[in-house]
Amino acid sequence: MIGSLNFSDQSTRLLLGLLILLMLAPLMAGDYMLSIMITVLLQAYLGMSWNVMMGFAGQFSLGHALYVGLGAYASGALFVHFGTPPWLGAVAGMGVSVAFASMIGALGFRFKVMGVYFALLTIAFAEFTRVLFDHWGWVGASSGLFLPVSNRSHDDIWLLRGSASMFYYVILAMVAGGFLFSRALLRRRIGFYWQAIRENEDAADALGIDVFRLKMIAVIISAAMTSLGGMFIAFFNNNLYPESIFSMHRSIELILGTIIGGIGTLFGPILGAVVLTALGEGLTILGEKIGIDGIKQIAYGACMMAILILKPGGLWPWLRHRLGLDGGAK
Amino acid sequence: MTAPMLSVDNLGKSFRGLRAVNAVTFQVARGDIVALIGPNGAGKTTTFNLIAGALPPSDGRVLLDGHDVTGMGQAAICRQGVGRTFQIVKPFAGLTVEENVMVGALRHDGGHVEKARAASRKILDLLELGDKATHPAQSLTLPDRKRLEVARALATRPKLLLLDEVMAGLRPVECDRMVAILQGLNKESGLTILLIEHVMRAVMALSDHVVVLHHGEKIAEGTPAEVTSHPKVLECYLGEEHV
Amino acid sequence: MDASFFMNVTSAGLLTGLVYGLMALGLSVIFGVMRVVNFAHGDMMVVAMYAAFLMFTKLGVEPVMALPVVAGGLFVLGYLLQRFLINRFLGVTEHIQFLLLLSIAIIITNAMLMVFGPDARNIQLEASFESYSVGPLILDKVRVIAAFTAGGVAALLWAFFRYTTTGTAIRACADNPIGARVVGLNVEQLYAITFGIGTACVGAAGCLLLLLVDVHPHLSSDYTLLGFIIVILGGLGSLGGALLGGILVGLSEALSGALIAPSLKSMFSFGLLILVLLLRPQGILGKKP
Repeated sequence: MIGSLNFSDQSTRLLLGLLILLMLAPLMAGDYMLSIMITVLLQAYLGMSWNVMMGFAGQFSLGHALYVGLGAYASGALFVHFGTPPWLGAVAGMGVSVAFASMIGALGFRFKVMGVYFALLTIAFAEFTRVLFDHWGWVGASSGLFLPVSNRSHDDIWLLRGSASMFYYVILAMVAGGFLFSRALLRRRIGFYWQAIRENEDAADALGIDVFRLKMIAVIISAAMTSLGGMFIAFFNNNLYPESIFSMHRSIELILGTIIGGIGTLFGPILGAVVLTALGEGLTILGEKIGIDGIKQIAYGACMMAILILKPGGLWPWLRHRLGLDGGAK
Repeated sequence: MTAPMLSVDNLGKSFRGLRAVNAVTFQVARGDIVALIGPNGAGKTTTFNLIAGALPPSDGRVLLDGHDVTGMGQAAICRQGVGRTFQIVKPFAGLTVEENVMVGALRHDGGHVEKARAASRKILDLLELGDKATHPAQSLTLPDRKRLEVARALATRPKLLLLDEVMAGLRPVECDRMVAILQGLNKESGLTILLIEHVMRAVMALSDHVVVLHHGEKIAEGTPAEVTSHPKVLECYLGEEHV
Repeated sequence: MDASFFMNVTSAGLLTGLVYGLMALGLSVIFGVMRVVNFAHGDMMVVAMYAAFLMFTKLGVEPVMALPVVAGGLFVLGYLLQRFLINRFLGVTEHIQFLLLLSIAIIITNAMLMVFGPDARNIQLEASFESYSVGPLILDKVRVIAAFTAGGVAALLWAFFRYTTTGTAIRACADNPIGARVVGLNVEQLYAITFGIGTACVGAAGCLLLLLVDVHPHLSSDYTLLGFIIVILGGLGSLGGALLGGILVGLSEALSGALIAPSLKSMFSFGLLILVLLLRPQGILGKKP
């Protein structure tokens, strides 16, 4: 749990080791491997962002694609129309996302929309926005927004134009930052308050915690983090369609890794992203060998079901126990 | 003259026409231990929830230290210095025992986590839960969960502590320990306590003053000895047994 | 925009809405009794649509005639799923339940993709080209058939819960599962039957919907969402509410599709959902918790 002595040593050591390994990866990995690692890290990052809201504060969102989309479109459209650097665009995206999150949170929490209903409210806002973007000409409507791809000889990190390994390091830095930020939140007063709200809102209220305000903060932080991930997606993919960026499938994909890895834990989102991507890729290769096309997704569903039945708390709490890290890294 | 710690004035609550609490008036003097007793369904827990701000009263006022706190909401009233426990315990099941108490303690010392941890340890030791500090709260037995409720409420450093049936389910020895702990807190730090209790042994031992509710109304108050010999009180308790 | 056009659109929306209502009934029954949110609802509907499609193309059985068979098949599917899988997950946190149903949905959708491919399929009945004229109104024959059959199935369901012993027992389970166990009801069995009834409703709705729309595997998530919108509009666990919600969504889709833009119709449904969630979270006909 959070409170034991070895906490900082063990998790820091684990993280450092992992980081060094990951820093060296592009030197060894081929293009295919690198793209897979970017996928894993992106999923880990988005999962972490969602984890702040759901895992820490217990507020179930099924519409996080909304913030991905807002972040992606804000930075993408500003870049396309005005040449605004993505990092500034991301700030705009975060602003818009925070505005939406505040609205959804304020409405949902004030009107006491809870649990599954709150999740449906978040889906509704995401879908609503998706259709809106489908009809908004300035961002390309349903035919999509395309970022100019110029062949540059060097990586421009300020404009995020360049090679796959540059994107790899960017997303790696985002994951590391997201991890440290999550850990800092979890270890501070706010983290304790969130967990109290997650476990029992009424008891938290009786201890003098401003439940509404803390839930709002969780939603806002989570949305801002998620929209930064959206910016990355926009500049990595170079094309945006409302149909895919705001889709419920993305919202679901975004949370899968964290739930499989262990909700409310720090390593869960990372582990979950690795396991799910490895599973997906492994099954694709297997599917090609066997020669049956659709088998991959079916097996994917079956594996998910198996994990849920066998380890409903997620893989990381179980692995942590097996590694003898109990009471150590959360 | 200083205002009483708690002053309940003509408090009432209706649930869809059902009158659960009606015109209840009583006071809790600073440094006193007051018990709220009465048969099941007398409106004790509702009265508690009205005082603690968990429910808004339909009418009447609640004054804390002379300040009107009526309808302020549970969190705000806690910040005014009222700690409460729940009759049906509500531990933060996924956190450790210590972390449960820390959540209460974090309001003080600028939210410093290690200071809150140290404060929580002290409170847990006091309530004899120290050796279970790192256990998950969901592993506790019911009597321990009751103690945890008290510990958590104490951690908010209240001036008024509201205890809802914390003796229920405790064995007589454990009950006496709890009585001693509460007496100690009252004597040493001058903590004012209002408690709902069914265990008469504890009520008699602890309280300076007893308020009796029946059918949502106050039917008697006085010292434990006065109240237990009060004809109306006898009638409502004995009458209930005769039915 | 003349009045008769408006009335035709309205009546078509109303009739389609009844079929939507039947689909949502299944979701509502399952949630009302077990508090399980069936995220594989739309997928089960697509299974039913393909079953009806096969019955027609291979055996020449029209969807309305195939309905009892398809509904029966889906009852068995739902019964077994609840009995052997979902039952283990009652009472666990919502997101785990959600993921379980989602994994079922992934498996079903992709199995459909493997078997039928991604292309849309439809069936042509003689009735597809016929219509009734009632005064200025022109009603598609298939739409009328689908709506009336949906209403009939809903009425049967209502009678089942109202007048049969099993129906009463299921209502008892919904009110108080512990009490139901105490008085000796076989709660697991009743839950499995309830899930079966829920999926049978979807099965019936799928057969009828095949008369109105083309089927393809990716319809599933749209219909799952549509089901949620309807059920929340009407009030979860309320039979009348599901039908009312279905009609409202049918109307809003038809009107926004005809008067504004077809591609905007889902936005209006979601807008409706947001409004109801905020103003009356228990749904239009739902009881306060």
